Amino acid sequence: MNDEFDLIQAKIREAFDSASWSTKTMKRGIEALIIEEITQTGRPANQMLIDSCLDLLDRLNGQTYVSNKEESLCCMKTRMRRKVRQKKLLKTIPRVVIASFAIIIGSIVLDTVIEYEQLQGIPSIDQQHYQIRGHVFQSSIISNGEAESNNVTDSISIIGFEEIDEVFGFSPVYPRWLPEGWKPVEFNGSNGKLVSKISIAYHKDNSQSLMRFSIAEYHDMAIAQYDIEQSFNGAMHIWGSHQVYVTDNIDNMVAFWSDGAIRYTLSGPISIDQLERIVVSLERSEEE
Amino acid sequence: MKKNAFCAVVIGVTFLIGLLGCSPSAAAQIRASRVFEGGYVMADTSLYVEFGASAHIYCEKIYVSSCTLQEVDVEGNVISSKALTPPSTVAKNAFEFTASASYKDKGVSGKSYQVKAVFWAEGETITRTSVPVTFK
Repeated sequence: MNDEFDLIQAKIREAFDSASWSTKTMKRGIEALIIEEITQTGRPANQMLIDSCLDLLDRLNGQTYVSNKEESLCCMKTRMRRKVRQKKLLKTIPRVVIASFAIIIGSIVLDTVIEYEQLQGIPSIDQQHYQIRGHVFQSSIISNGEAESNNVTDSISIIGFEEIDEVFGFSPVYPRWLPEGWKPVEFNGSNGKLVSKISIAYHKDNSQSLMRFSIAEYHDMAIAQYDIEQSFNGAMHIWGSHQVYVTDNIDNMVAFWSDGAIRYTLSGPISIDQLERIVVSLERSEEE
Repeated sequence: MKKNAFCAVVIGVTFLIGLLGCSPSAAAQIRASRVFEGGYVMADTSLYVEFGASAHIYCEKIYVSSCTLQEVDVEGNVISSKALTPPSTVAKNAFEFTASASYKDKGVSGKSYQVKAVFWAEGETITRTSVPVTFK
């Protein structure tokens, strides 16, 4: 009897270990075995066998057992899911590649059309100058063709803003707020191959010094230059959306800021607060 | 007593030497300009040069008083210099000065140059040197 029990148990264990039966078959087999053992009348029920089978059933219900068939089915399902994902990915990759390519081409085109341009200043070692230099750019306000045809730098005096528009083909920004007593007295413009600039001079009674506002556009940033005279190193200020370098040159305050290849300079015997107010008023005129 | 007197003399002399040493350099440091706001010299690879200077006041005359072509090495050291004829432009009763000149006959292809100019106005001068370029 014990040998028979051992044989059945061994078979069940072997089947369990090799996972050769499906979970359902295994359950059915074990249940049938338990029922047969309980219902047989020839001898007393083998309680050890029943306990062992119940233990196996518990393990099956706890899902620690997975049959080969179930495992292969599961693997197949996983592979199918992976293939579906791969197909989706294969469909997406060309789109991503095309989009990336378009972005790169777009950037290159933008670079050739616009290019990055910046004027940057650093104080000289002796602090006596603020040295402004350019970084490679492409001109936008005055076309290269127009500028190159004009090798000789012409300096002209202009009467008013309307004339600037006529001569240069654009209306520059200009201070919308002026400290009390200051009035524009002269406009000066020059259109060179390397740099074009417009300056407005303001005069106030009893002041020998002028207040000056200048806009210069560099047509070749690799060689762009402007060195400001200063008593000592100044400081950077954020005024509106501009990062402005402010210094003093004996009796005059000087402010410099840039926008790409365009240099703005404002100077005069005025206070730093007045400088700030003028710079902010320029921003207003830009918005208009 | 003698020792104290000697110390006092040494301190006094040191202080005087310090004053003598510092004063000229301090005076030399304050060199900003009452006349000029700033200036530039820009030279392209064909040695076409543009000169510009801006003044805080109306100046009787603004002009380039001297101009030099400097050959430079890759590190920016000046190898040789030769005088150039400054542009003849003179701005009168002006606060802005702009001029241009071509020195393409002065360059040797492949060599690097910078142009140094001295601007004059109301008895004051400022010196500007262009960014070095390789002549083509």
